Amino acid sequence: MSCDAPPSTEDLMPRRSRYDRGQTCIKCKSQRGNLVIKHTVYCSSCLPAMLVRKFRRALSTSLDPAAPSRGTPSRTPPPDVILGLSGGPSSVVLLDLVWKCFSAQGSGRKDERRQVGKVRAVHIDWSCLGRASLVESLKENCDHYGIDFTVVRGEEAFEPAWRNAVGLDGSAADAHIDLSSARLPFVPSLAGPSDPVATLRAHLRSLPTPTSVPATLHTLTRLLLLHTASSSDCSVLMLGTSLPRLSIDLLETVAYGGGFALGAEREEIVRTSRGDVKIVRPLRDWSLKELGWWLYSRQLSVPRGVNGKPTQALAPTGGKTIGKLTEDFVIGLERDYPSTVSTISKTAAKVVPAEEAAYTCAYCLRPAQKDATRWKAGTAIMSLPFLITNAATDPLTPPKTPPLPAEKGLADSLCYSCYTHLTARGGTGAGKIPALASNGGLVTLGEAGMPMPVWVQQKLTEEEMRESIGGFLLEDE
Amino acid sequence: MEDEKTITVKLVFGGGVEVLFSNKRNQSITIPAQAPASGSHPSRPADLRYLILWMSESLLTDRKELFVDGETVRPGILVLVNDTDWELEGELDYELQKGDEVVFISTLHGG
Amino acid sequence: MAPPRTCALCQTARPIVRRPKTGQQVCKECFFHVFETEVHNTIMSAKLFKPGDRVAIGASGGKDSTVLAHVMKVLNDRYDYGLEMYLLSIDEGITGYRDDSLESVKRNQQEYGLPLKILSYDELYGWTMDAIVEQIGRKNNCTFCGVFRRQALDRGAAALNVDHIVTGHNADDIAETVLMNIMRGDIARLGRCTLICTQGEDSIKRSKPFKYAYEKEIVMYAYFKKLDYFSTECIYSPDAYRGHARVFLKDLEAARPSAIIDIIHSGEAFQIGEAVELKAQQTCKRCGYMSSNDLCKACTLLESLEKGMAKLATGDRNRRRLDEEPAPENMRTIPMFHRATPAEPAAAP
Repeated sequence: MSCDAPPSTEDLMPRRSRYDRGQTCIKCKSQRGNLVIKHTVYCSSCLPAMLVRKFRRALSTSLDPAAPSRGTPSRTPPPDVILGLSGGPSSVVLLDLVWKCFSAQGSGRKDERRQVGKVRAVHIDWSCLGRASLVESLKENCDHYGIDFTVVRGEEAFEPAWRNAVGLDGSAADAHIDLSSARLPFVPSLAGPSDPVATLRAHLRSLPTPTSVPATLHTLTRLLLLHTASSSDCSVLMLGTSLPRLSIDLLETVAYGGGFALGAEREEIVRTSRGDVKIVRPLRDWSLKELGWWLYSRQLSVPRGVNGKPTQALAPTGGKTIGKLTEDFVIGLERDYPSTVSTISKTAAKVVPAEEAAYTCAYCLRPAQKDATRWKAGTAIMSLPFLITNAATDPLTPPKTPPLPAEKGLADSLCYSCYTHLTARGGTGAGKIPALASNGGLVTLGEAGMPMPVWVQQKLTEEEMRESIGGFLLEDE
Repeated sequence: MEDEKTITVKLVFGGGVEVLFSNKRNQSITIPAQAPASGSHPSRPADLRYLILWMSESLLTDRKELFVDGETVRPGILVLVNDTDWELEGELDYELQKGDEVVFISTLHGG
Repeated sequence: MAPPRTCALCQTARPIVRRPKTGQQVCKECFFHVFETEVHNTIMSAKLFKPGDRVAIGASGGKDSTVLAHVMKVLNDRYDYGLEMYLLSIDEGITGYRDDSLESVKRNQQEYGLPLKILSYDELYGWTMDAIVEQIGRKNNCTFCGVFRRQALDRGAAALNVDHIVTGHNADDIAETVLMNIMRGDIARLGRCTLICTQGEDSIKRSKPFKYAYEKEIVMYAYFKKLDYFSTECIYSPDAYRGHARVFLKDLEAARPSAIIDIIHSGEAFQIGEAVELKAQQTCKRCGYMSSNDLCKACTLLESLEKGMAKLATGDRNRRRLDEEPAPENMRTIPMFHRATPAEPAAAP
């Protein structure tokens, strides 16, 4: 049936030649070009200035959209910035560019340097999951640039002490949920305090599809970065997301059902307990070639090799995850249809959420839609309760009960995609991630429920609080 | 070592792709000056198509899929010939010259 | 000995399939029941129909529309929708494809006792797809076919004096279209493509009751109900770009079956930002069909065919060249579009 939608001319997207005009640089119009970027040819003398301009422009748009493009310095003090470094090529380029543009030893003009305040860097280390540690080489890198460097271990997401360290409310007990019920009710944890690495592994191991594992690690990394930023009083978190990576992340978000927060994937402001943190991605217009050129021309070394992805050890057997499929798809498209990658990013910039956000997701802190998790449960009938209750009457009467059980649970405070990661079943290599199966620690699931990261807490609603203390209230407040 | 039957070129690796090549960022290699026929391509003077094939057979030990994709390099690897984008030099069809420097920079992973 | 497995829904019968949408093992009767009930729920929650509505089922003879005709008939009887239903088929004029599939539509007509209307490209436009492909080759022909089919369906519906066309677009089609529109930056279509029901001014409503039905389950339903359908793909193959999106979607589904429904949810969750302007709709000066330009797309394409310039017909830049070319004598045009308003019903066919 798909041919019913009238295709447009763009469907056909013929391959074009790699560059439009001659081989001469479009800027100086005298040198022979060295690099083709989007069909335009640049020489190696004109490239650095062009790339620095691109970086500054994207950063200004993100930091201060209303400000005039140059000249008049802003009256408000510049924000303190924390760089989230993965150790991959683009984070190495980000570090170098920030140094070049904002340090006293760099090449930026004095007024341009004032765009940001103090700069520091943080890396989330997942070596507890069997990945080679990049801490030493990243520290060396940051020392070289004179930038303060902090390491946060991934398992700290399950470390109660860390919760206090970053200023999160630490009064509630660690949350555990029951995955067997669609509302994800909270259950008392039977296990005593346990090792955070074991708890992290138990969390990942309980995810019902392997494809949720890298997605969850991505979210955990994002939250660890955010809380670190706010606890170090940095209001800006800068990430080295390149254009193809952004397009991959955007399509991945769509595939997880996260369309409501699509814009957040480009740029977002997250409210944490200690203040707002803005996430900016100043390399979001950079193609892979531009990144490669910068690495090459500045002789930068990349700590994380091409086979060092954090998810490598967590790849399911017998199939690819949605993240990997999307990456292969987008990078493959870039070769045959080069404009697609930037189109995806532009499309995401043009759409807005279809309704007001109802609340903030307890897991990922992104805006969530009212009843999205109920919508999900309603698209597929998973049980036939009416067959039992209405057995005497017509068994074909449609169900009148809401699709979700009536009890309260974490489902009510999750966004659609976090709910999906916790509940969607089936699919490639279901449950088969060798690295998680072995060496699992002491937590036994089923009895103890699925442990949640320390920022996910069982919050009583105001109504429930009133109910529980109702007898003691003297008058209606 | 080099005579008319062979050609020596310099290879440079960066962006993390060097881990596939014994972690060496620079290598000098000598390959036959004449590429044997392969697939639909007849025997011809050594070109980048042949160099990539030669590298995947002679230099890469394992994880070839992180470097090659069919007869070309994996998407996301920048190729420069004497500091110039290979797209300006004819890509796979570029004929290697003595002393050429060919750069492979991986950019894909990260974020 | 392990206990015998039972259906995850009724807990009694022996399961015969693993449901593609949920992964549950279910028995045949429960599968039929949940499949039909989910379509019913989709129809009810979108309030698609009211009693007395005259509805045309777009019938191609393929699996989606064959199952749709069957399920619409079942639900209309079971829940007393009170619909008057018709089958509407478009004959694109593709030898060895549409002529065969129309035979299966005719068999469906017999079985369900629904009146059938067939409208051909040949009678409406004076061109068959075979003749179009002969002139323009295989490269752009899907553009012609899509534009022509859309208008033909509306005109067939007007002739049947129905208010509403239901089509067999399934969840996979919609998810694929969401991906395509994101990848092409087609913001206007992105906003529209997840709507269950669309209605242009002056036009007939079009709905997709299978919006949340998985393609695999439609095939499964047809198989177990032994429905008679025609299963060959169009011989003029669709474009490569859409093919990429389709393969990608199937891979995503394999990695996680809920991905299809999740993509549709994403598509429903965002809308077009205010800054994006959409073209206002008007009616075509030549044939009266709704259009965003002076001439509707079908009239433009038909003119290019008549002038023998159909290879140029797509793209604004070529529009001027088309205008400069003198019209051939007896140039065929599309008859004027007349649509009876509900207040003045046209004579029943």
